[in-house]
Amino acid sequence: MAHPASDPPHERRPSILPFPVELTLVTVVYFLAGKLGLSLAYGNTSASAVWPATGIALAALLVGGRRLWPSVFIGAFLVNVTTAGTVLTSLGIAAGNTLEAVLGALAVRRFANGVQAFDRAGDTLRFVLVALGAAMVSATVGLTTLYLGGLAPGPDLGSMWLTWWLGDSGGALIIAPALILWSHERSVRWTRTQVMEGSALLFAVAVVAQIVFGWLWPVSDLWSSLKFLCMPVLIWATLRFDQPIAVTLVVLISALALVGFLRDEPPTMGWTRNQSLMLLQVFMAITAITTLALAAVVAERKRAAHSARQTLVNLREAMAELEAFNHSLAHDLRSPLGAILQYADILEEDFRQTLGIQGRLHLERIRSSGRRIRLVLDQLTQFARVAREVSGKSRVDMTSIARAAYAEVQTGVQMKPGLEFQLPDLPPGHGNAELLVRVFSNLLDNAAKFTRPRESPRVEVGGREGEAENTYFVADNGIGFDPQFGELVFQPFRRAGADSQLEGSGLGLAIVAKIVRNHGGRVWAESDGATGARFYFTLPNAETTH
Amino acid sequence: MTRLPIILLVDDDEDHLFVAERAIGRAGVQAKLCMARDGKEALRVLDQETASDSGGPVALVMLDLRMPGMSGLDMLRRVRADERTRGVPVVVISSSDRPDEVRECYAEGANSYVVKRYDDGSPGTYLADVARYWVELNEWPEPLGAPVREPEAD
Repeated sequence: MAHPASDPPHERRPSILPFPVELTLVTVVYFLAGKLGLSLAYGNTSASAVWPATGIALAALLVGGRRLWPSVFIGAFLVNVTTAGTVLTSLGIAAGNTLEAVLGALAVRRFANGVQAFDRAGDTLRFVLVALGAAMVSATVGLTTLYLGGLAPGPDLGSMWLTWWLGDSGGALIIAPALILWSHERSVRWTRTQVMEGSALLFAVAVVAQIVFGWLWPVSDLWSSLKFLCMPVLIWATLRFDQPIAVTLVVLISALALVGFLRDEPPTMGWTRNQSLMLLQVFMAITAITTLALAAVVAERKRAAHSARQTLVNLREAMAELEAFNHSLAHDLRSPLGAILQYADILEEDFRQTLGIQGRLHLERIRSSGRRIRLVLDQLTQFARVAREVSGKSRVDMTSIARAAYAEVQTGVQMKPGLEFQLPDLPPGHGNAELLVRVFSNLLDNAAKFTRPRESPRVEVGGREGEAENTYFVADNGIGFDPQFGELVFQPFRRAGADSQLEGSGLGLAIVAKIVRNHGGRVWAESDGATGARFYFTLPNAETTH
Repeated sequence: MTRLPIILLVDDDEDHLFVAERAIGRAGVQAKLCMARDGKEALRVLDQETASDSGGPVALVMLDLRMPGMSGLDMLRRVRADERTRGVPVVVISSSDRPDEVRECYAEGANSYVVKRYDDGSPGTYLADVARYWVELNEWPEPLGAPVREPEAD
């Protein structure tokens, strides 16, 4: 049997009330719910098709811990002994009800994630199965007791068992979820619009419940056959409100249905009172299951959306940190590197004779390695500087931009003399001129680099106007890149197909891609891996940029 | 006989001081070089040179921004606040090219702003160029070291 200490503390909500008070309270509530249930027992005074007490017991043991089991036992015993049956049968029924609640709570914790059962659709469905299974325990133990006590005739056992099982299942499925969900809902804060929508929802519930259950005045059988009208209202509740609200509406609708059932004395369609109550109970149980599952799916989706948003925020922060790190790294390395290069120069100038040819050769190695680091640092800084938001956009003469970039590249060490450069008039672009020079200079630098092994290197710049965007390209007859690399050539430090002899930071094309994308444009590249490469980029026209 | 104009190099980076001294010396700029490792030391040197009769006119202060103790910007403010040194040309030599820092230096009265660079070839040539410009090419209405008149608007 459950012992207070055997409950894992994290599964139990810290109770506000001292344990004896809690115990008494649950006993009283269980007793009242039981009285209500037994007042609806038609076939037999002990088997009712409405048994909310099961839901109260299950919720109490899940939220408050298994140590509350005596409440269920005492409550159930008192209900039965004060209504019908002997002390002995009442003890037996109470034992069945207690076993149902304890096993149910145990199974929900074990298989359906305990009080978090309604967070996920899978757990919710397992909760439903547990509730249906636990109700069988109570019905079987209870009826066996009654039968042995001579209070239940053999032929009636089948229908009594069904009534009992349905009553307990309904109680667990309708009442327990609402209690459990409200137990960990801390505070509800609604905006004015939500209050208005909530009122409208409540009104809709009242109207629909009147139409199909006649809780205010009687309705015809035709109307009451439209019970499925409850679903749209509950779907509204699950989609627009939190889980506890939707689940509570199920309780409310069940209550209104019961009120309608009680005021509607004439038997419907020739069924017995118990049969129509059972039918109602089946309907409400199915409604509860559907609402629970739907609400769980909605909650899951909301959490997924929230976590996606959170991931995005984290990602942005990480990006900003990385950029800051990148920038300070480049900056902090620049000055010691400068010292290395400068002292290498000084060594060469001041100790030329002493060094000799071999010494000067070693020195040149140091200098060329240092220059290579410097190139990477420059590009890293450039890469880090391309802010995500492009400011200072204007109409830009792309032809002169490309020419300026070419002049810049020409002075670099990469350019092979005799390179044939073609630059026809380009359509104007819309963007930040300074950044667009970087696009062309990196593309041209790249082209100059890759055409160096060629006898007659050729680089061509071109462009064409489009409706939404203008397309530009830089083509060369260099060694190209392996076509399977495709988009990868635009990733930082990815040097597709380049043989390691080619100097470079591995950031040039990444900078191009970053600038172009920040302008709202696209980049792509084509190469057959042998006779050259063609790098394209687009710039959206001014009208289409927001 | 005229006393040699003084160039005050202020930088906490010994390598930078070495390169600057070497480059300015090789370029043959006719000036006496003084060096300081932070703003406080630089102010002391400036004080000494402007006060004593043996010191020459301070033709140029080449000032780094980030230094331990008194930063370059603080020193610049002191120099500009002191009546005796208000007119001394100050060129900021910094590794930062952040527009806000450049702007602030000019706002505090820097005469020029040069970003440190590491060109291939003879190191520090740009420093020698800066020194030569301010010491030999730039023309002043008053002889260097003469007291600067208060601006009339003040």
